[in-house]
Amino acid sequence: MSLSQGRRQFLKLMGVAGGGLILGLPLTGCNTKPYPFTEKNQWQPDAFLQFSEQGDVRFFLPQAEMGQGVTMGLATLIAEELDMNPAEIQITHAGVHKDYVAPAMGAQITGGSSSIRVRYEAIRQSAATAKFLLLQAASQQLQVPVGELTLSQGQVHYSDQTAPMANFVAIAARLSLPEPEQVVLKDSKDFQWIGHDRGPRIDALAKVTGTAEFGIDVDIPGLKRAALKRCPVIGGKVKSFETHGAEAQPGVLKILTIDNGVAVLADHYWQARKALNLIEVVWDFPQLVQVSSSDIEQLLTEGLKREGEEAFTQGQGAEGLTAARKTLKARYQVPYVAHATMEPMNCVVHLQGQRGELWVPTQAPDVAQAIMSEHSGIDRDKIQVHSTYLGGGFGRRGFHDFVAEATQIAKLSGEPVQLIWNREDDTQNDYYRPAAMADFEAGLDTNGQLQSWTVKRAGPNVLPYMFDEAMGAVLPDFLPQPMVEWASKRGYGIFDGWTVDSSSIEGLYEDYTIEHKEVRHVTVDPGLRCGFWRAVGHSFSGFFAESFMDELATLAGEDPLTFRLRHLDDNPRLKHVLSLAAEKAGWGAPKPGRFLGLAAVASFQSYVAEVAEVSVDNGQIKVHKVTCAVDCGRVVNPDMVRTQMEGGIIYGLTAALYSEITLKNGAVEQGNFHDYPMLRMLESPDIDVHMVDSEEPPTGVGEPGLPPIAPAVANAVFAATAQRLRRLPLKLA
Amino acid sequence: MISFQLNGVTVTTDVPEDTPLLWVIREHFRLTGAKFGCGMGLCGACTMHFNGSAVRTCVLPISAVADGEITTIEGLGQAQSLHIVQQAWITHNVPQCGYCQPGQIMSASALLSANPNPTDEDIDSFMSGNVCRCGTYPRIKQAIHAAAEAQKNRVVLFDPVQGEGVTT
Repeated sequence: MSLSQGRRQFLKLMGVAGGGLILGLPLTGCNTKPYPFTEKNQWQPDAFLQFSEQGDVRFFLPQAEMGQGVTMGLATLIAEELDMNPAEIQITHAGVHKDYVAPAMGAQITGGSSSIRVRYEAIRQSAATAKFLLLQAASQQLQVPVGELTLSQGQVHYSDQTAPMANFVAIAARLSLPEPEQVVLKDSKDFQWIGHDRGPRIDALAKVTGTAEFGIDVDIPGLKRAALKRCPVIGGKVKSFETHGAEAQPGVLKILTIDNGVAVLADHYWQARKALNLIEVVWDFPQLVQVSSSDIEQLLTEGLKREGEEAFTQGQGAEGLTAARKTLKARYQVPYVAHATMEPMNCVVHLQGQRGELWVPTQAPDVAQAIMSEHSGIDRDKIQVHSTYLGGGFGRRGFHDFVAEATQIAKLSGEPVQLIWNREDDTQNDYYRPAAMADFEAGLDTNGQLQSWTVKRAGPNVLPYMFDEAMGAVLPDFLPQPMVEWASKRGYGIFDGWTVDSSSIEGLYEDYTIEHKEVRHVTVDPGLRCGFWRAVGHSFSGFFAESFMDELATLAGEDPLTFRLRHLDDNPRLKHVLSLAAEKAGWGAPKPGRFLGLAAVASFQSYVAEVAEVSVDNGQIKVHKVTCAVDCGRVVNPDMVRTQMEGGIIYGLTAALYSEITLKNGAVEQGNFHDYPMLRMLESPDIDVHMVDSEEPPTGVGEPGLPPIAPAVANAVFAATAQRLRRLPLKLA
Repeated sequence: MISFQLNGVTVTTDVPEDTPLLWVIREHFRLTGAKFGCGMGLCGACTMHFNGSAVRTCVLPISAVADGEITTIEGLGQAQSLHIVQQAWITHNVPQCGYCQPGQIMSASALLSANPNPTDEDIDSFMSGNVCRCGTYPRIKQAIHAAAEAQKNRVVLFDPVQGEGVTT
């Protein structure tokens, strides 16, 4: 079950799927709204492409670039159809417009490893349509039959002559769009760019020269900088405060109380931050103040004693266990974890009477716009959103509490405001990957074949938080704010006793052929807010299921690889990557002192297997090498796929070895990289990635590299020590 | 009034002496290549060269650089005059989100100035003060080795005009 499917199901439940109807009211048609950032005297055949009469091609990038390489990926699709170098395409981050809403997403969200999967056809269609019109125009102008014309490198070729494409832009602009079936996409056997590495990623030059603009780099005339002191417990309010002279510090312009804290606005960031340190606040603490980490463990343990909701049943469900010859039970758990993007949350808000502008590194510009609208009172369509590059996203930048804060500061002060969080703000005010605990029980038949698999997961759900966040962007403009607020809170109850949030159970049960399966879910939310974190449910379920699978192989007395392969006949693509990774890693023949562990997980419609080579010395786990095999359908940019596998592995390894957010009296105890450590180069393994050559439709790679790494390492640690580690982060006794 | 060399040009500033160099460079001199990551010298996103050595500027008070030489990523190399480390970063597709990369590049270039032929262990030890959340470490290591090799053989790894490497 993918994230997008989960969201789609949820949106259907709420009656807003496909941007259709809610409460019987049609969404306002915005076909006539102009596209943001459209320039005069340019031809813009659709939302994505713009051609100048000088022959420049501009692509309005509808997805957030947070490092995953979507700029390169989507530009490659355009370049392929237009037969040009992707490096020559000019890129503009798209603004907010309904035509940029990702198919099946409901909002302009980049997430769920979806960009290439959902846009592969549409973006090629867009470029091929433009090419069709340019050639029609050239045909008219040159009086040459269109069948005798070709377009490449910005030139129209006919017989032995060429003419610049630029000559035909003005004529193409006057032609009416063809029917979609008139436009023929390039045959894959003719691909020049898709599937080939013919140059570096196109955002690399800006990123190595320091000229790439991130949110934190935005500067506009008159900009003031803000820092905000929040309650140590998320959700707390200001009761009273003492400034201790902060207002008299150099550069300080204003001290302001907003919804969730006290802000200092100054000419420069450091002035604001220093003055903020002087301020003492008395807080009105929220209910979360009563919760500490030991309580969370207790709540989850108690939760698993409840029957919970049925999420999936196959065969006789849990009844199937009664026929088993051998059974095994195990309990797994993971803590809350933070995203820790390298760029702390920040944005620039400029309110100008009845209109406003927002510069923001975001995974959902329309959601950011709706939140700024809610807090400023300015209509959504009067707010121009300028997306920037994201200094990491990983799901964190689908949430926009920092936009709400900056908007309030801008509104109260009347100044253009840049709000910059520091690392402590960022670590302690995240939307965390939920903590989770799960009980597994499985049974083997007399042949050592898995015949039953049951699992019950207890923990918070993510979708209610997302729904609270995104409702304002999904609902029509004309609904009154109280109705939007009412609707946004429906998610919190809906998954407790009515239906199951698919992102809470995805990955717990799907991959292997087993006759009887039963999945149950118990919603236990201690109150710390949650969000999407790279690989979402698979970030914990992959660890749970693939570690338990190793335990079952041991129970069956069988090699973990052959045991898995015997249960993958109905999942040939996963079976193939597992075999491939094992073969490339030299499974069965580790080097002296090294131990191998493997895991395979299908997530977001991609298939990834990893083999970890590990040593254990004085209780310290060292991961030397990871061999990865991935099947993501047709590969658009091979090296981008490799980088995403590397990135998913290292991000997942940080969580597997180190990450744990703990609460004391409701406050997050970690603050910076000394107490919430990141994997560093010294601990980083060599990574060897192998791709399956495939003509299946392309799927995503931003997340699927992550889920197998924690179980692969845990399984290798078991091989090394005979200790089965059932919780993250992995710690040997 | 504090005066120092910024990318070869003498500059002066009158900000309070305890202001971290990073914020002076970013907001007063408007060079935003160096990034804010942790404010505690723990992640290296703010790395610049101070008299040729890599330093964490989020914790370096401006008073400490008086009369010194500061080089930022903008001074290391620009699009038409890339430093060999920047070239290697491009040919090895190192940057993902790119936020930490100016700091990584400033550390790597300082490493290569001091040690033109670093081993894996030298790189691990020198570069472990720079955090990357996108997981670009394996490529950083390869790129540093490639830059060391290219430096030795006087090879241009990447020419943005030609889009590929040429030998000088």
